[in-house]
Amino acid sequence: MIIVLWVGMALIGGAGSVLRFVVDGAIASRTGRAFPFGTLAVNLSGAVLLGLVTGLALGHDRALLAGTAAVGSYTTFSTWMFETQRLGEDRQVQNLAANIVVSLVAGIAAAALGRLIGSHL
Amino acid sequence: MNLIGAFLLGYFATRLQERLPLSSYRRPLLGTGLCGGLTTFSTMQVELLRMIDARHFGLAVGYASASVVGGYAAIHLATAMVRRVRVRT
Repeated sequence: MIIVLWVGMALIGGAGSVLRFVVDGAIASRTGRAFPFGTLAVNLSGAVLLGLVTGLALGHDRALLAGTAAVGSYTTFSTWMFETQRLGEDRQVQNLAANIVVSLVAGIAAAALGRLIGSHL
Repeated sequence: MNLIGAFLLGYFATRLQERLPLSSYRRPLLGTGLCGGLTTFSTMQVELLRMIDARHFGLAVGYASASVVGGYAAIHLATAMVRRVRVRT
């Protein structure tokens, strides 16, 4: 069963990454390059979803597939930090600070919202 | 996990954008697939939410700042490493 779980995680995780690639690209192409809205949108929507999964209180395997594989691979920490660091290199201090603060504050709020919804389903 | 992934993304992205010939498939494959899949934002938010629930505010602030500072430093370090190597002609 552990093999099936791993294969499932690989497939679902891959799909999550592809979805991030598509969503990020679609939003970034509409909003321009000054601020990384694409990654922000991906991460905030992912935080709502993982909050939802947490609120649903699924079993271990299901939580692993839905939470870790699907939502975990959909959201990204590395791109968030990469874009923040590049904003810093361009001396865009306001955008840099906004990218960190908005992601963290809105991210926690998004996770709380998702969990609230999940616990009522 | 997040710090390792951030370091790798800083390395790959800088190397691909500034050092290697342009390629349309390497960036999505290594950057989006490997590093994006390795790191996660949502788990961090839910972990922070749990710390706040448990009224461990100091821990939450420490975790968030350590992640951000560490992630930023990892990208910075990897970028500097790649840029120090001269462009191959």
